[in-house]
Amino acid sequence: MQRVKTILGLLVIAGLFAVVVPVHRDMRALTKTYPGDYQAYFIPSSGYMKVMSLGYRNFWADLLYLWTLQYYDYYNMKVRYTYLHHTFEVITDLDPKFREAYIMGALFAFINKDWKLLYQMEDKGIEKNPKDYIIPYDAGCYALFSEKNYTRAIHYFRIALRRNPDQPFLKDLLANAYRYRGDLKTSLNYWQEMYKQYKGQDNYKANYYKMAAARHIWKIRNELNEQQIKAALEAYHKKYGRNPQTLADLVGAGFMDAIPQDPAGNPYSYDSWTGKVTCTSQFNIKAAFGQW
Amino acid sequence: MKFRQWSPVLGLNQMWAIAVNSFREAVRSRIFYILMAFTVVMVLFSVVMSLLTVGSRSKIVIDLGLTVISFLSVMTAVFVGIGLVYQEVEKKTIYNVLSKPISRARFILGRYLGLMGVLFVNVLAMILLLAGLLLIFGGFTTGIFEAAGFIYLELAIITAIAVFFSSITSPVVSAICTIAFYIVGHTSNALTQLLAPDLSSEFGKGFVTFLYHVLPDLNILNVTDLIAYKIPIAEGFTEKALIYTAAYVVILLTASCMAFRHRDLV
Repeated sequence: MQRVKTILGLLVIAGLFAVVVPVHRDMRALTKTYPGDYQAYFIPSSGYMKVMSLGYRNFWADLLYLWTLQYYDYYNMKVRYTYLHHTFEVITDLDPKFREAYIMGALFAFINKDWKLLYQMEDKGIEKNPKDYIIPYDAGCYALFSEKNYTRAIHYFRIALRRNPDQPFLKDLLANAYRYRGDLKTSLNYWQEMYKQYKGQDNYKANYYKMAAARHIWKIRNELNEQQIKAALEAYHKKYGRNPQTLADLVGAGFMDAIPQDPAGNPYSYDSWTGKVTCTSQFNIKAAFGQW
Repeated sequence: MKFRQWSPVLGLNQMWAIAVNSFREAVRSRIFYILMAFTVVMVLFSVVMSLLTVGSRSKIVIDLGLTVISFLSVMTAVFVGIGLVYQEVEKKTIYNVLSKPISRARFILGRYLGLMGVLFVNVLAMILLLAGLLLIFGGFTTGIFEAAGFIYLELAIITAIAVFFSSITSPVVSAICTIAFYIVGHTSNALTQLLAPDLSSEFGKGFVTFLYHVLPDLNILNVTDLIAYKIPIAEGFTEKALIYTAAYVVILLTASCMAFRHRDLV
């Protein structure tokens, strides 16, 4: 009798599971018919979260961050960016030193092309982490490569370089930002500084940056020379209404003290008909760095 | 005989015997094993959680690991601590103990030390597990042992609170009161940060500040966040934390002994 009761009990349990599983499957299917954007989430204010975290602020910041990574990975939400600022504000209020949260928050803002929010988050990270150079570097890269706001890029790369003066790629980026903004002389100074930093060293990193610096120094010196000659040519044309026969005429007319040579030491080619000045030399990596 | 009863060596021996007995009793309790198993699972799970992140893997393992160890050790202290005295009274086994020349104060202190021994083993085992995980997956820092020390200080206060309530009331009420103290201990800084600025009267502000200093500030003993970022603990802080904890434990155990001394056990 006891055995029968046990078997009956097991049968009832198995029977109920046979009901529960398909019903649950149907319920799951029904929930998928709801509109995707109804799942607007609610995260309380930072002040409330700080109190309710019971002192485990990093723990809650981590959980919220992990959840956020999964949430923002889902592209079909209409409300995807509505709470982006608030969410990352709470995470970084709970854990102001959470570098990756600033960087990922900025990335999501970038995907939404919300520059204001992007720099707002990066600025907060820069302020709360006064020794960190990755956050200003990250912000500078957005400004330089995506927004093409070179003044802003310079601002961020300068902060990053101040925090880590030995990092050559920061000098490289800052020099490039100055060059794109048109400030060739400052850019040249940074490249020269980098060249000096690695002069006399012979290893992979030193050779790489020396070569990059030498190539940029060559290019910028050439651009500066061309700018100088073009300015003199324009002044000559303005005064005489025609182009000079040769570049030496610019010296004779008092527009230049001397005609500069290109960085390879060759004279510039000049077409008096079009007034075009061209550099015929090219930067020779092998000549400068051998077979490296 | 009277001399023997007042001998400090004998008193320590009696307390030690009760502590060892309490240790064995607590180690045999099911709730201890359940919470310990849960802690092990959660500490291991922190490694799984770290796989979901972008960057900061070791930070997440340390944060989650230390938080779980701290929180579940507190729960162990609460749920084992609340029954320490009450169960002895309820099962009437206390009569056997107190019929010997053992004072009620020594009984309370012995029970407290026994539970602290259990918690020491618990925290040590868990922190060694976390250290092992960090050594395997990277991000190991000796700071986690420092954090474990501070977790143990917090446990010393929580256990004293649990013993205090256990000596005067039933386990359910003790659990509620101890958890309430735990929450208050971790949120009391909100009194000065959120409440005080909104108060207009100076008396109100003064009272709130007074409350903040009087209530046990368990949050101040939480150094997990510092450890995760390898920020060194301020010089002199550890010594002050030891004094602070010792003072609270003595206050609470004295109150427990006084309350238990006047309690009618019949």
